[in-house]
Amino acid sequence: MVQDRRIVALFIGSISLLAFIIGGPLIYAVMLSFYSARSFMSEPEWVGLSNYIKVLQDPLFWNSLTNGLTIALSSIVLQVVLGVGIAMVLNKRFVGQTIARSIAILPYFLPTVVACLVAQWILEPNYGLVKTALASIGVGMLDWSSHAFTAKGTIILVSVWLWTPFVVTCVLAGLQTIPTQLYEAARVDGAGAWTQFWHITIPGLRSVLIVVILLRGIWMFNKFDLIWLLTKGGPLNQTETLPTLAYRKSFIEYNLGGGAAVATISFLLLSGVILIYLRLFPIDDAKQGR
Amino acid sequence: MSIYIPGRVRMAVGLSGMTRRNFLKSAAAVGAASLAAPAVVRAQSGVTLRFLNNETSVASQAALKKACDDYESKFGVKIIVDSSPISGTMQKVMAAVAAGQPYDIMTSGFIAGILEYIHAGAIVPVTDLVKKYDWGKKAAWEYQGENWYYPFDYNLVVNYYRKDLYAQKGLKIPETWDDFLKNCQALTVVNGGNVDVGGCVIPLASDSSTNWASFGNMFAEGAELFDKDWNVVFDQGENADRATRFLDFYGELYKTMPPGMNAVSYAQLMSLFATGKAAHSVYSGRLVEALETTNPELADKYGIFPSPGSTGQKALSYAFDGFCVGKSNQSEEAIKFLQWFAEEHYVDWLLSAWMNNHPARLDIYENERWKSHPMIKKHWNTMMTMKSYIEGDNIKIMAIDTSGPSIDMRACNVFNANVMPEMLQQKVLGNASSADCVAATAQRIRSVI
Amino acid sequence: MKSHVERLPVDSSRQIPEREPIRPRSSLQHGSKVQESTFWKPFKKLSAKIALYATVLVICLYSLFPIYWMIISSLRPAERLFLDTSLVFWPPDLTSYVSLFRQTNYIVNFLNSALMAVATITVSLVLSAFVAYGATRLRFRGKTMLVASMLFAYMFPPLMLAIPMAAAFRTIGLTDTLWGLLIAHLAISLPLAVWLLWGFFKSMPFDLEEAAMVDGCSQFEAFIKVVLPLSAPGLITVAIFSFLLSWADYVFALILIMSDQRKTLPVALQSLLGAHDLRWGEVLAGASLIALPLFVIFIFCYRYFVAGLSAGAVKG
Repeated sequence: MVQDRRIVALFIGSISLLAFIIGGPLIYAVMLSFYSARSFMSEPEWVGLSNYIKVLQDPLFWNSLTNGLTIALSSIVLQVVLGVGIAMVLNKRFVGQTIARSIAILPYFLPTVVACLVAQWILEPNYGLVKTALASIGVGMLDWSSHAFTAKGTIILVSVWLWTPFVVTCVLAGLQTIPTQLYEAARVDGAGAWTQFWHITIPGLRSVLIVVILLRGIWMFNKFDLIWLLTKGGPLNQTETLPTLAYRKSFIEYNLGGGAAVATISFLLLSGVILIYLRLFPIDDAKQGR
Repeated sequence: MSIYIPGRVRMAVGLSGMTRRNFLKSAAAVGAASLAAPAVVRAQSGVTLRFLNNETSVASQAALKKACDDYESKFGVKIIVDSSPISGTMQKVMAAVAAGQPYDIMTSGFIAGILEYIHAGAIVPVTDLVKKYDWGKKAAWEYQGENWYYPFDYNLVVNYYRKDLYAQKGLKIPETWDDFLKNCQALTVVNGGNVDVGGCVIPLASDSSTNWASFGNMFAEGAELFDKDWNVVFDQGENADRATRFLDFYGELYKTMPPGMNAVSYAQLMSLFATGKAAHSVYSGRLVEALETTNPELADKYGIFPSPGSTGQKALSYAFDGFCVGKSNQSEEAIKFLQWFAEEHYVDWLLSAWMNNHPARLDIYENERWKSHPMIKKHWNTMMTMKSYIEGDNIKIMAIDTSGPSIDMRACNVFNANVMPEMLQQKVLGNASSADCVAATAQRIRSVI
Repeated sequence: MKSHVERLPVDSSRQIPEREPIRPRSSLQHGSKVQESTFWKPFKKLSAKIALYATVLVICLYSLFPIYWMIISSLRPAERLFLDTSLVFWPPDLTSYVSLFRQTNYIVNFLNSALMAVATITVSLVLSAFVAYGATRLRFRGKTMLVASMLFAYMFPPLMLAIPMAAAFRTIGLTDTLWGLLIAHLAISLPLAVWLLWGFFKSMPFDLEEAAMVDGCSQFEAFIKVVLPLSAPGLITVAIFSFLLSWADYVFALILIMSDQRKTLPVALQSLLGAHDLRWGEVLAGASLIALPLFVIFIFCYRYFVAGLSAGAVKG
């Protein structure tokens, strides 16, 4: 096929612009991690790997890494399990199905800032709805922001509420593509609901789930705003994750090099994990290749 | 990554190409037009000053806007006011400098911030302007022989208490830690395992509000961070004992505080007291304003007292609010404006937060217009009590960022790194022993200075 | 928000209706139970129905309630805001909204946000369409790599991309401008957009374009006249994702925008909370007003959104 010059030109133009917009800052940020810049004002000074050494020796870094992994993993597992469950229910035929589906997807449309405000409002330990409701049945409410476990739990809870709908939507879309004949055949063979779910639904959703977990994994691991708005990394750095640590270093300690080093390490770690993930769960089409 | 279309969905959408193209075209046109708007503003001729204001109450913003409009109509100098909540002001000032668009004037709540600005070369001194007036205790502080800002209030952190509850329980204004603790315990209401009404609120979150409001009792006890030669002595000799005692005391007080203290900052300190969820709170005069607007009933039932030490010493924490002038080729214009503002609109500005803006400039106390403001009149006793705190010598006026023998970056670093708030967290959230907290804190102080 | 924990067991009960057709079959093999089974059948069907509707109801409550609570709280008068936890509130009190408009540049912030969203949608649609189409139809090495590399853009903490951007914008004079913010929003929306559209174009058979080209179109014209209109669901999905990413962005706006006149909604809203006084009423009113346009758009676009997703987005 003849290649249209305009297509080629527009492609090259667009891709260069894209590379410039995304690649530029990325490279700059990585470079910054080799410099020491005490503040936004001072001239940066080349320090080689010293930012990395400092970061890796800082117990707070390892603490943040494990916190981040705990939060991201538990949140993703819950999102996926709950998301598949909700999608299975909403995939059934019932009156008001469209409305129910819209409602179930609604939270995904809320900006993170709004979701965090609503969560803080509802969970406010002195006048919040949960506190009042619990008090009316004589139960005390946990001071969630003061304990590591509940603070992490709240972050996970809000992220699950906010992003499960993404999983629901994708799984619903995936369910459409599983031929109904498969289920009919299974029924003829006397397979129970559980067997059907395990042997037809899950394999049918496999490719969707691989992509969904991939995307959600990347996004959850790099989540900054949700955690910062809910706990600011507290109590006692127990919900500090790599993105909040990078922010703390850059904007509170004015240690831009340190912040960039944290971000770069986080980037490398995540890239590594994703590459392994893609090796384990190849996304079909890489094989088909076009 | 395979992303394929099953045939059946492909044609599903009936949005015609025509409509979409038109939509995109007009959207692009609107976008381009509005994106260009800011550039037009900047291209205007004449001087334009940029003012960063962290006094974000409606009245203060209105007073400032009025002053700016007035100035523009008289002198043709336009002033653009940006606002920032107090908790993010410093970051914003620094970011603006870094971005090459420094503010010409900014309000600043903490000396810790001002010293950062000085070191970043972001502001110029306003010594001549400051020297024209008579100032209250400490207000005309100098650094490197210059005055770096024009203060307008003290922000003394006083302890608020509920007169009605004190009367009910027959309590007296506390003179010592024991008194205070007993009062707090007596007023705590526990319900279903939760503190329903807190005995007191003294913040511990990692932010400036804690640095500002939580250490009055420690100051009264006389625990010093530094000696005369800037050695860290917080964990040594008598200081260590005092600090340890203070933490023990704070640990006991914490048990009477309402839940969620880890998220309590400026706003919550006020709202907890104003909604009756705490029987004591620490704050500046602004809490009185909050009572008047949100719960007027309580506005007749509050009283104030200075922070006690363990055996009756007294101290108060403070943090001036004031104006700084940014370093740029417009600095002179900015100083001119500030001078005019200090003459023409200062009283209006102060009255826009009538109780919070507890004047640092002494001539204001004689100003008829200021004195005759109905709210100042109504709360005259409180205002005069606060004035007495800055006059006598029996009450220490101290702050974390001005600890040590002189105003210095070292104390400010301790403030900005939230070392002291984290000490409180270690004590009550991390359940560490007071002595360990003090030792760890002294170590942190050594590392951040 | 608590309820999701309780939901898990319900999910398995959802399986009941599917079990129905199977039970009788297996019981046929044990002849004695036939009678009983047919007798209970209607009841089982009914209880399955009830279980299904109950589950759906719980899902809807769980998704909707926090939003409902936000809106209803914003309609309470300030003095009752902290004390009142009734589930219904009437008559609504608009004080918080009035005061929100009085003390903030809400309308300006709203327009900024809307402008950003429209611009982000437009530019990312155009650019991603060219990139995705090129990546599927042009012949060159490493096409899959190219698209896979889009993902890497999301692996660097977005916050740390904002700092270099701020520095770069300083040198080219885009500091504190919406142009700068637009570039940032494109950086977060483009990779996903390219990825989604690539899936679309790739699955679209060449035959269609070839037919058009036989009729005398150039490839470019075929792309514009044939491929794009057929990709409408994909384009709409991309538009919606771009909109969401831009409209909800807090991080970039926080760092790149300084003046009040150029703040977008999320940042303006958050700055209400950091102030001296607690304005929950206004904050909740503002939050409701941010959510509202989303819901309106959602109602209109939901169908296309799901169609687009099923068509391309996350297909394996």
